[in-house]
Amino acid sequence: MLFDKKYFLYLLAILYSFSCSNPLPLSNLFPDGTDKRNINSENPTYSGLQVGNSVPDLTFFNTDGTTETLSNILRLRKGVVIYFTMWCPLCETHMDYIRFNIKPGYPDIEFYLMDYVSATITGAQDNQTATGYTDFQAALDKNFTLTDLFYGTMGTTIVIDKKSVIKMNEDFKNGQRLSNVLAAIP
Amino acid sequence: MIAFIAVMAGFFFPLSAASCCGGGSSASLVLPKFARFLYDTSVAHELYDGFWNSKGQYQKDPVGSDLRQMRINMGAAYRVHDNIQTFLSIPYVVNINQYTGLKNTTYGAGDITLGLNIELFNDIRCVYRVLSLDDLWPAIYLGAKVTVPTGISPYDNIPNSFDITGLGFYTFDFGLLLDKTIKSWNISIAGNYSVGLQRPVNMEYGRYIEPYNITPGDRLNLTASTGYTFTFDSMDSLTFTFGYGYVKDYFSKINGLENQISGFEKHNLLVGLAFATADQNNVIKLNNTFNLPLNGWGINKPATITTILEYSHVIR
Repeated sequence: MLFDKKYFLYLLAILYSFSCSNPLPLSNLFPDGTDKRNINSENPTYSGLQVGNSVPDLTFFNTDGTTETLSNILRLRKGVVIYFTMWCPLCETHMDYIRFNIKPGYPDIEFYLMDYVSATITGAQDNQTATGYTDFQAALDKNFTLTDLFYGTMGTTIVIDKKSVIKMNEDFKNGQRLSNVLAAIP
Repeated sequence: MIAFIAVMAGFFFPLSAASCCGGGSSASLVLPKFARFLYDTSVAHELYDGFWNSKGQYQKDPVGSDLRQMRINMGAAYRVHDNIQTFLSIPYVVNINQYTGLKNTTYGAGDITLGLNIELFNDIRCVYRVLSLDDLWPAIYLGAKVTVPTGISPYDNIPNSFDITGLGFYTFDFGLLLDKTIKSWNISIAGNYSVGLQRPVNMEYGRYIEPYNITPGDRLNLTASTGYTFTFDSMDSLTFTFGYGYVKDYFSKINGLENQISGFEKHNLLVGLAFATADQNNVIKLNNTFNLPLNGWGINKPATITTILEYSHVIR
């Protein structure tokens, strides 16, 4: 016998101890559908700025080499949509949906693709060009400023209105929430 | 035959993973006929190698990126009846993601799988030569398994998508495996269909959001493969396998409505090598599942190269 049963049990024990250092998340075993957005005592660890919070003035490092501030954009537009992308298949599906189903209906809203994985603006520009989203305004999240502020990750979609107030900060999913939020912006 | 079945076991209920999109679920295990117990250890390395967009066009990953997932899997199968076997599989997942501006390595438990396989045959169905119609009858397995969401999902208190090691849903798989060995040649056809349970969500990536219900898309897996076994003078054997697989995820649902931008398709190719000792009680396998980086070989899904080194020990 190459491998005794006891070694299998040892390996299981090692696996279990790994799991103990990173406990199993019970939230998936017993999922909760309670609305907890306004329960301050249950604020999660990674919430970032939430719906209703004001956003400080931000600087966008555009892939075309220019910079733009949030305040300046909001002077000219009714709001800003920021979509966090790492140029993955799911991101492309979302960006396509925005491109064809949402963006044409909101000419007064600025749509930003926020690259949070590239090291340089040139790198972000290369990714934007390679994937063919040059009809979008794209920017690099230098020093993870926006990622940290919003706890953005793949698919996170932020809507900021003209008063710099966050109207949406959640995953894109099927785009329905984004459509609803934009429709409610005066 | 055991070596071939062992290679096919991972293909019967194929491995499914994607460090950025969930995954880390484990394969099922198939116990050879008449064997009582099997335990299995494997290490899988999945390298991401571009992706197909929603139009089926193949695209490369961002320049300078290096995206991988490793899975350590512990499993066991146990015979509870002459024709019924059960199995349990416990994965541990390591996600390694590197972009030019970001480096991230995370790890955690994957989704545990347990299930059963029913054998619709009473004797070993591999034959040396065909002398009657009965000799052509294949080994038929009916399989069912449940995947328990013990991994980390997007609906957990985690900061980003790189931490995901599981899908976050209870899923039920139903499968059929037809397998026939004649002399040194083997052919196998397998299919399985997966249905996920609806669940409520009130958190995404550590942020409470307006609650909604989500149902994962059903998943269809079809595979076909063939193999050839060389038997040495010592009666140890070496089996080469080549296979093709097709996987399709149908639309997921949000609050009961189909999410028209979800789902994916993918074509897989498999090459496998399995060494079995003469007593057929120890099997070492090296499997490689890969995709061709061509337009039309997938939709909405990363292309990957998955290498699995696996050891199985059978107790009769």
